[in-house]
Amino acid sequence: MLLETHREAIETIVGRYASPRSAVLPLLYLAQDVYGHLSNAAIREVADILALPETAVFEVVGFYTLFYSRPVGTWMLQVCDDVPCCYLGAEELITALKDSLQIKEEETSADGMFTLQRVKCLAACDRAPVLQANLDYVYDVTPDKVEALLKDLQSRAADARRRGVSGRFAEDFAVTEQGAVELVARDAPYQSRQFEVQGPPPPPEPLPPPEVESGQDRAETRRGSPL
Amino acid sequence: MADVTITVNGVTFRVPAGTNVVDAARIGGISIPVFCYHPRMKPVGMCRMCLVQVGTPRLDPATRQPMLGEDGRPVIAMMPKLQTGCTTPVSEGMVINTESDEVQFAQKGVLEFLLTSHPLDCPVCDKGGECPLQNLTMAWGPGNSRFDYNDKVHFEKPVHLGDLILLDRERCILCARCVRFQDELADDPVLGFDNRGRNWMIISKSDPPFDSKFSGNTTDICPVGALTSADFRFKARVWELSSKPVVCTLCPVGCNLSLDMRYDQLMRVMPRENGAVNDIWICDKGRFGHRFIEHESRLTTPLIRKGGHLVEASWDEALALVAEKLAAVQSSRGGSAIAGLASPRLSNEDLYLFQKLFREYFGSHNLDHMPGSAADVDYDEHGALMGVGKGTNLMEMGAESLVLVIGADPEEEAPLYVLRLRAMLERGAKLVVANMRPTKLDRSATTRLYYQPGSELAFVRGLLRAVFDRVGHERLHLKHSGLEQLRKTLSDLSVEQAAELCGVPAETIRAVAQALLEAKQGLIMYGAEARSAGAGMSESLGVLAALTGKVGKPGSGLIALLPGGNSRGALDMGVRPDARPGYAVLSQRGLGAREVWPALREGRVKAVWIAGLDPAAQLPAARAALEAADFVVVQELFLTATAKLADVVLPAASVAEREGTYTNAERRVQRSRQARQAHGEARPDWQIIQGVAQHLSELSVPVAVPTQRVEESSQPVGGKGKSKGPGKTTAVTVAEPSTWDYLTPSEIAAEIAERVPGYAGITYSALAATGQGGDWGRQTNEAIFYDGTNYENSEGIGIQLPNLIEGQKTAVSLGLRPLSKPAHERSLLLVSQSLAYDGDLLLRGSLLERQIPQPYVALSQTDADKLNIKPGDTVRLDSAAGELTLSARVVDDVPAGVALIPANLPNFSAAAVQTGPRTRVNLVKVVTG
Repeated sequence: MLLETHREAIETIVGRYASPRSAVLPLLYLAQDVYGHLSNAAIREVADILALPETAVFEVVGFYTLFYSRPVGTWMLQVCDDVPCCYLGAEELITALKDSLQIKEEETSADGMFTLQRVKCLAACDRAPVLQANLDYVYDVTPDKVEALLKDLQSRAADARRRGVSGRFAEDFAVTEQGAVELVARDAPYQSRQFEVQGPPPPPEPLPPPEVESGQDRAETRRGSPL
Repeated sequence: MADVTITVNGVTFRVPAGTNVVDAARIGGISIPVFCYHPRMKPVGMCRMCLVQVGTPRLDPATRQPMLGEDGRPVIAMMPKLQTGCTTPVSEGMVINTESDEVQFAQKGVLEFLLTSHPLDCPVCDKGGECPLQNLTMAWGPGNSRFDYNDKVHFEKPVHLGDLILLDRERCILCARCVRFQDELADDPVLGFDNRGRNWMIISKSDPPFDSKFSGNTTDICPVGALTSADFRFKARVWELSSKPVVCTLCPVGCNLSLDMRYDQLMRVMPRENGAVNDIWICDKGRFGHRFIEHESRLTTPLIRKGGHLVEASWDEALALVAEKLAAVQSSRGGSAIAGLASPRLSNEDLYLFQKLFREYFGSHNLDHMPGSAADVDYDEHGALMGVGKGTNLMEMGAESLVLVIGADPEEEAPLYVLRLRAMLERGAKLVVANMRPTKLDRSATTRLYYQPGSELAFVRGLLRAVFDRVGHERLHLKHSGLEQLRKTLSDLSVEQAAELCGVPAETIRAVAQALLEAKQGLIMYGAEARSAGAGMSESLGVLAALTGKVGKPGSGLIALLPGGNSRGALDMGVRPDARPGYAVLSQRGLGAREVWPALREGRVKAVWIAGLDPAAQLPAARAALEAADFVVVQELFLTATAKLADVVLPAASVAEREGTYTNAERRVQRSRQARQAHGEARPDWQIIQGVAQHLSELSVPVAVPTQRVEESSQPVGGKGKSKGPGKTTAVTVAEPSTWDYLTPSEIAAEIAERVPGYAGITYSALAATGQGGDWGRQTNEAIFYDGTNYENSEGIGIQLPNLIEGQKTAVSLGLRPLSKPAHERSLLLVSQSLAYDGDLLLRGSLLERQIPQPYVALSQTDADKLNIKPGDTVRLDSAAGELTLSARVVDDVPAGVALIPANLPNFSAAAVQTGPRTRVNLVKVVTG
């Protein structure tokens, strides 16, 4: 079916490489964009087009986390929960997204519009918190901007469907203080996140000292072991 | 390659350059533990178990000479980190430490990590007792773990990788041995890894899953109990098993097997190493296809027809009846009214006695080892006459050798050859695969070509002409006749004309001919499809081997893939109407199976004795003939369709319940031992034959002295008590009254060694020699690392027969029969495809039964479009013989003009349409309703 609907694109992609095997990633992205996710049938189709052993293509899909082997929403939201983002409110952002969409991580909203995922560092710590929507970077997403962001994304659903979930044509966006989602041009000069300068925060309460962990001496777990 | 000197743990010794550190240390008797490394596969360094300290002499930058220290010895620069021994090749002066604290720390660490996810369910694990992980943990493990037992990951299990192999994810240590075996050795890349990190797991996504004829081997090489077979899983503990050495009779490779028995029960089948036959592997047919031995439907007592029913009888009663009836037929109608058919799965001893009884007692040459179908092919003589030279070992062949596989699908006909040919390729051999349709071996071939359906003879003639044009007969070192005739035949057809007939470009034909001439060693392997083109094909291939000088020396000659485990033995033993043992042609031939059926109906033959064949299941003509026969005796494992028509049914012992020798495709005679007690009252075939003979002598039936004499054109049969008389070409008559008192099959083998040309010296004691069977199991502590795979072959590796041409006593006839013009009265060529998993009775009760396909006819897309046929449509085939209705498949691999049907399926026969090994048919879609 892909060959019938996208023959030209496939031929262009395959033509770029010396060996058909090299075209496996771009073709999988194409298949994922066309079908919304990679079903077993879609993976077999790619294997068939490239004359590769089916298992080999399944291996590739299984290895990379950006191939979705189950149906996902129109927008795949991948929120960084690594350390710098965390300091700047990633957990609060995720909570806000979950509340607003009424879903948990790895779930898709009832209207099929959004799927939420936690991911690790997206390499944009200077504009934290950051998330990807179908691999479009969205910078400076503080929890209070969630509603504005979701609304904006919803309004661009048709565009998202056209471009596909794989993010082959991904762009950069930033959320302004006013909650507007603005495209950041590729050649725009570097701009770090603008912070409001506040007074120094009150000193944190001292944490209680951690319990001493001594591995094998944990009596209760030793009891649980048949050894 | 030159040797290099290395020092391991302070011991200095020499090893071949290019050896990796693991193998090199083992040469010096020092063990380095491994999991992922396997000597038959490329190293990958995945498991990190083989970490060692490695240092090399420091070189002076100016002189490139090793720098010497104050003590006058080379300064050793140790590598800053531990190295994986399996991926590090040795170099001159290398110093290796395998026991230092640092190495031990690393080994303990690796094992501690491997065991973090291991379930430690050894008490219920199939691998327990022969598990490298157990062994290595005992020897190199930490003894204690810092990981919390309750933190072990748990997965759903087992995962069915396929019908036969199951995966336990918790036990898997992710060494990829199985994946690499499938990719590198079997060329069935059907296994892979899904996910990553802790969730890494083996998957198989082929259709059907784990689609490989070699899948069972992955359970052997799995260093843990992660892969288990559905056939053996949870059946027995390995230390309860005793391994009995037998030979596989399911195909002409003749793999060495161990039947692992618990008392008298077959628990599993394992490969037994034989470098010259199966190395350390076996195919799934051999591994899983031996459940017939204990099948509940085995015959246990003799049966005699009384009042229309088969009723149980004693052996004495049954044998006396057989002798009486056959003697009666002989005295009233002569011995030629008796016919005998014996299966090519019987041992040489059985087959020899069978023909001996017929020829000596009955004076009858009505013998055959084929079922008598129209599709039976001509007897293959060139596979023996020009067979591979004595001393051929595929394991030792590589660079400078070429294999031409023509008209054969080794994966289906003799699966293990796929592994052996691929191993040769790995060592640098060339592989030319020529077929009318693609086969799996094409993927490995260095040259693959497809001739037009039915034009293989023209292709070979083209090759012959190209060879002749280049070297004439200068490489022909055999005694020969008919050179002028050959010259003339070849001059009639130019390479270009041949190219046009067969559709292979003339330059390709010339290139293949050139490659065959240039190769030092050349093997020509041909199979069912080549043989279905008639005897002209093997004859032409024989001449091709002769003209290119690829005959009569080790590593060169023909390999014929014949059906069954011992077709070559049946031919050698003369179980055929037109030749005595040793291809001694008879001037007056008897009736072959195909002629026996009409003769039975017409009353020219009155009695027939069928050993191990089931013609009635496939052939309506045979069924009618058996119904018309006066007396039918069948010796079989099961109550087959043929046995149901018999007057006397004699239960035969299976290969596991008796001793015997079998001759494989490379003419290697191998001895199989008894693995279990007799099944019920079943007796070995040779004992049954001898029993009848003894009863016949009690009836004082005079021994019929054969009147036929051995013709001069072939090799003479040696007289008793003499070795083969070299150069003796006069006719001999074999007429030695026998006492028929063989106590053991070894006595029969001794007689065969005396009487059958080529078999001189093939005695049971000689067959027990192990020689250089391979190198498996002979290295330091190897059992620890490769436990559960395969063990040293202590029971004999067999002896290869010299081909009949080697003695130079037989002149090769170079005359070729003319190319026949293909008839085109019907549009399609109906070809039977041999399948590994077919209706073979021996697959009864095995897991492979599920993989036997339903009958179908496969067509090319071109023909399907032309005839407006879609997959699944019902179609009718009609030929000169009759009609047949079948379901159609449309398959890419079938060339236009061919209709392919699987051969020998259960409950299906194409006999209605077949006019020969190949049949011209028309095909139409059946419109129902």
